[in-house]
Amino acid sequence: MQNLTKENYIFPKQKLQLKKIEKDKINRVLIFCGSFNPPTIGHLRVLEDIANHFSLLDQNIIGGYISPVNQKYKKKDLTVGDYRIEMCDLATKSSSWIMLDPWEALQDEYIRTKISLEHFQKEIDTILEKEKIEEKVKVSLVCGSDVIESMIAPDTFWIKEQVIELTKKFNIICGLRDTTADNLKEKISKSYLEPVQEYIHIIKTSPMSISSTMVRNLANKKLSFKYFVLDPVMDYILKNQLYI
Amino acid sequence: MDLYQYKFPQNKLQFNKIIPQKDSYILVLFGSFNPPTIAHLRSLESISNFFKSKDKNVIGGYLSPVNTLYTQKNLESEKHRATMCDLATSSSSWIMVDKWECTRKSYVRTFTALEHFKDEIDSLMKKKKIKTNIKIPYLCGQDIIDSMIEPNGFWVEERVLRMISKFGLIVVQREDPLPSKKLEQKIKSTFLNDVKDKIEICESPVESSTLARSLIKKNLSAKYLLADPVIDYIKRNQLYRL
Repeated sequence: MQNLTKENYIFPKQKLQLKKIEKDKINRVLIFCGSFNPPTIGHLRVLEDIANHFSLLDQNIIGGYISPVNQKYKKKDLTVGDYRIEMCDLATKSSSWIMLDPWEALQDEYIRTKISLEHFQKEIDTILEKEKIEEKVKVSLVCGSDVIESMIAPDTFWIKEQVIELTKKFNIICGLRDTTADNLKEKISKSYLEPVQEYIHIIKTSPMSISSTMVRNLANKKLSFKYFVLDPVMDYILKNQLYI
Repeated sequence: MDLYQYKFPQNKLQFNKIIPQKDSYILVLFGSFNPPTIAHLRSLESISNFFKSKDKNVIGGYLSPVNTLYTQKNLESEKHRATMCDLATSSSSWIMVDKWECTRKSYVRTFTALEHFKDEIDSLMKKKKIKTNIKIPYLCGQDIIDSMIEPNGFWVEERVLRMISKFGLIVVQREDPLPSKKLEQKIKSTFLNDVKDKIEICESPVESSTLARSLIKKNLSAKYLLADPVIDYIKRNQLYRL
């Protein structure tokens, strides 16, 4: 990760699981945009939850990216931009499918989310073309509820037409706890995003206080419980086929 | 689990931290640990932070898995749960696993388990010729308070009072907690009012990046909130100090 610049940047693809792509199914790549200052176990956990959600809907997740926002984004405390890249790299190291894409953070200026998502779609499409894969892979935006809240805020800095276009083209996926999820859905239905609300997936994810019951249920369903328990614990559960 | 092979773990106890004028604590988390999660370890880190910010010393911590005689469905064997606790605490500098409860042939009441810890620690202190009294409060979540005050419930009122007056009680506020004030009122409106001075409420707030940063800035632990390599990196690069 040292001396990474805009010029020597290469799109990371080592964890993309192209062989998972299936015809007649929705194939997705998840893009988690945020500050990641620093990246927490909760961030990674949200991605695992969302992947579980789509696999239960019989959709394929081909890969996931964490895309730290550019430092020029007007938010306090983002002064450690380069460190965020390094930390996201470390945080995703033990994942078999989540990668860091530093593209957004490496640009000279703040990048609007739509532009960032188009970058991903372009890169993915190029790979598919090279590999002669004809199926489509959908790039989807994963974000925290704060992002949606800011989109529909009265004094929003988002460009409304862009948000609507982005939502239609890429879909927005937001993982939230039960009660807040219902609240957010209602807020969206009363905002300018109402006409595109079907493209916004509000997914009820596990609260950050992680319970053993939840882990057992997931293990039992053979779904991911990584980042709920520490890696050596997870290995032990799998090796000994516990809770199945 | 074999009783004859049992030894009280003490390898991570930090005796050198004991200062005679200061209160010193050992934190014991009881539970089924089926399996142990990051949140279990995280709550011990939070309680330790709680004491540290009150200028008190924490000498060590333990996970104490209950034995299988405790009637909970789907409880894995002692061996598996104890081993998982070992794995989960392997990267901790101060949290150990005590398997004494696992070696018992019958269900162990919390009071008895706390006495076991008190006896073990006191005899260690005697050996080391350290005269400070080490406190071992009972740590629990709000759900336990609710079960304690439930009429004709699992807990025996007298025993609860005896336990709290001897050991003290720390209530850890978790997800969607009652505000501390409300919880205090709830406690005061029941038989627990007799021991209210022995009960402390420790807030363990929602675990976000903002929280992680503010902890690091205060020199408090953010372990298990963040992945280990991230914490190492933050430390090495002295991030979020200002």
